[in-house]
Amino acid sequence: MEEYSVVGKSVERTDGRVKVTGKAKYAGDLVAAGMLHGKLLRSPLAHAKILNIDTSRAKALPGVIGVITGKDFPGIPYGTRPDTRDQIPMPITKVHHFGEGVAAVAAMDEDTAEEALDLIKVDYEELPVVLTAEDALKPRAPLVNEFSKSNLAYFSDFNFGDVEKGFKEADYIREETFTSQRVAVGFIEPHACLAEVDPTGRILLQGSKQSPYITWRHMCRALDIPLSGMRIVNPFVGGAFSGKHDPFDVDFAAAKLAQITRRPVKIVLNYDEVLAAYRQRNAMDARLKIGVRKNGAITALKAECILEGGPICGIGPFNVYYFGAFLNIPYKIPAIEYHGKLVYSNRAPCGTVRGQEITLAQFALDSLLHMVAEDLRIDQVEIRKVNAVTSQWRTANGMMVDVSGLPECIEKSAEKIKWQESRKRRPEGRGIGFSCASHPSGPRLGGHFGSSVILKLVEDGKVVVTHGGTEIGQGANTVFCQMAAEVLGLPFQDIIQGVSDSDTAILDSGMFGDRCTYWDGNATILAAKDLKRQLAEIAAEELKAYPEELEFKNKRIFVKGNAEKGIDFLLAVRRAYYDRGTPLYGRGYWAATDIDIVDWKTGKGNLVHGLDFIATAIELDVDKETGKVTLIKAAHGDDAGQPINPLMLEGQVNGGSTHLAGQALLEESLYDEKGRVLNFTWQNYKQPTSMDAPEYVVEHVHTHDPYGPFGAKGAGEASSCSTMAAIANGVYDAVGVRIKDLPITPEKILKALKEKEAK
Amino acid sequence: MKIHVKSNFVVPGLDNGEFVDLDQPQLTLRGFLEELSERAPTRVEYVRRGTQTIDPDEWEIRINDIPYHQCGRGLETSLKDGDTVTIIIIPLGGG
Repeated sequence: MEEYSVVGKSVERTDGRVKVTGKAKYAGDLVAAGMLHGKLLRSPLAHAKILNIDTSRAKALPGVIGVITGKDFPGIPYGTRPDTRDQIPMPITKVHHFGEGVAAVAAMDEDTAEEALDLIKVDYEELPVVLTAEDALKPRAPLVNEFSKSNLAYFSDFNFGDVEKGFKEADYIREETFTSQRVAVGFIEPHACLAEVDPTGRILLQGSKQSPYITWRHMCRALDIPLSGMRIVNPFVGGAFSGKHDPFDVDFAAAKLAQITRRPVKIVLNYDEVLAAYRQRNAMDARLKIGVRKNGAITALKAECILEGGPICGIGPFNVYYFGAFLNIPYKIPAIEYHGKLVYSNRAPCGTVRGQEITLAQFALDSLLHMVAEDLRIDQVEIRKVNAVTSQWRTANGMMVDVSGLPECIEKSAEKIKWQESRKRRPEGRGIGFSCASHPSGPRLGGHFGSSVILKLVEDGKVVVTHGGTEIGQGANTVFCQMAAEVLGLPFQDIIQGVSDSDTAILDSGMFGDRCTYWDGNATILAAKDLKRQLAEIAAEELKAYPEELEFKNKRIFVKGNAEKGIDFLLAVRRAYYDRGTPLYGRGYWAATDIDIVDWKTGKGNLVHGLDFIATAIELDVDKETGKVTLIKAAHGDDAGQPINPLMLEGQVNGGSTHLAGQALLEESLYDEKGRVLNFTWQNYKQPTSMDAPEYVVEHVHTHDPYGPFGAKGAGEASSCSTMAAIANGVYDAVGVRIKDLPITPEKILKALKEKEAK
Repeated sequence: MKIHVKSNFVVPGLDNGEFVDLDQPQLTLRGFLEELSERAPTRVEYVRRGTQTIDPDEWEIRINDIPYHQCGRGLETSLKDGDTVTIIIIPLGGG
């Protein structure tokens, strides 16, 4: 194993101190000269025609500078895929969900803007609502999206291997259904932005965005302006978890109001607006049928999944795809048949949440695996070891697993949770559940996929990193600084994180799918090598040596094996600037061009590098009197390749697990029969806090990914994929009831216990 | 006239997934793409509004494996019975 100076060390986060001392500026903290405050008027109905919007009284209110509706936009639909463009900035003909923004106001202060909203009169004609997947697919169901002639928004049918043969070879077959609920995304900072328009008409948007590139592309299209007509700068972002990729009415309204008023406009949402009307995770209805041999080895799997996604496609097609294509990991399944659907409804629009819909697939698959092991009297650890994906495994759909530490992860999690001991003796109501998972380090979904990094070496020897990815709290900036420091032989403190700005940072498709450490990390290394090459040429002249002979370490550049024959790093920098007038920029770009672009039709291909693996074991108590589940301990065996920053990696693993414990046990966005959200405040929408988190143990299984930066893989999403099944399996282990319908509430447990007793 | 379609996605409106049978004896690439758009449950815009080109940021289109812009008349290239049109979708990211 190579010895590193900065990589592999738990250095302090670049943004840690400013965040914990409250000095970091988020979008809501931004102020511009002459700034106006914006507010959105929201629909009280989930589905209704807009007959008329009268804004005249609002416009007449002193202090109101601008009022807009959907008609102020060009009406050009946008969407993640060019075949599913079904959104416009604000509705024109009808509203599609409760809380949808129908008009926006810019005023001198927030109170005036709020008052003006009350003066806008909207005439609606109520329409019947579509709430569930079943409703959506009924013949003659009301159509939800005006750009589509059907409520079936997207579908995928995949066949990997010979499923019929697989089931014939099975000694045992079991089929089950699983469902999951709507959940909110769960970031801390609500949507917010500040939009300005310069005298040439160019828009500057500073917003809380996860993937500025995606926002930028969508906004330019929907506003009908060229890409060069807009600049996006990211301030600090208070979490995103896949809920801040797209532009929202907040962003569009701020930009349009800034265009109309020629003044900066800031809009900051309240959190109740976010919980009621913005991105959620799809509700799922799934049916899985599995065939296994006597030893538990899986021979075939058939899966059907319907995702209810609200009134737009968004990234829903990716969710349908992910659910099916990634059934191929983390277990060796020789044959899979998959049918996935995305349907429109009149609930809040969906994107996804951490782990994407692999989380839902894994909840169903690993719950089913537990049931099969019970039926066949196979140990829960054993059945997972029998099926675990190993290195150099080619999946049924053609993915090459370069390196898998999963078998070791399973052993570590079982050892740390004391699985064997627990089988001999454990308290009443105590159980342990297992689940495994794997997540790719950013598949190549299409053509907008690459990462780029620019390093500017300043005259004082410090390096500024600028990249197109986004720091959303996960620690990306810190790991890029660590990587640049390692390559350049500089202390970590000499690397400074620059601002994410579309004018200076070039293409990067965004922060999602565990891709940033992997893709941007590789780009960072290449940028640092580019800078190093330039400095080596300068130092070589000074040292009368060849550039390739030189080594960079401890702020020195010297001939390999002869530390005496060298110069200070800073001297080389000064020679470049002062003697030659050479600016020192390192440029790096990376894309996994050796893997296949996703085939949406078949789901086949070598889709990814850097599959990270996790085995999760959760010990919990179930109170038989109240049905309450208390998480005691979670032990994760985690293979993220080479940990770049072990402490942050641990934080990602534990964070992902706590986040999805919320979906497993607590969270559900509830709707009434008219599609109105019932629980959109923190008082009645329950997310886990530190009080709900168990003791965590993370055991790093240190592997080396051949394509990853320093051998690293992505991290942070795998634990979110393994947690829900581990909890469901733990509940079964504790009290012998199987809950297949998320969330696993006390009420459901008590009902199941009662039914069990009655048998 | 039968036009075969190759793609990396399920082309909306292409029910059999492989070809389109058309009554017209002659059709340009533009006409063919418009026909596909019409058949789709959600209207798909292959040719960007007000332009003469297919947006290369969104679609890659080939006629008999030759990029359409290299096919003499580009979008106005006439298709023949048995021709194959390849449509590759280029989505933005997310997840």
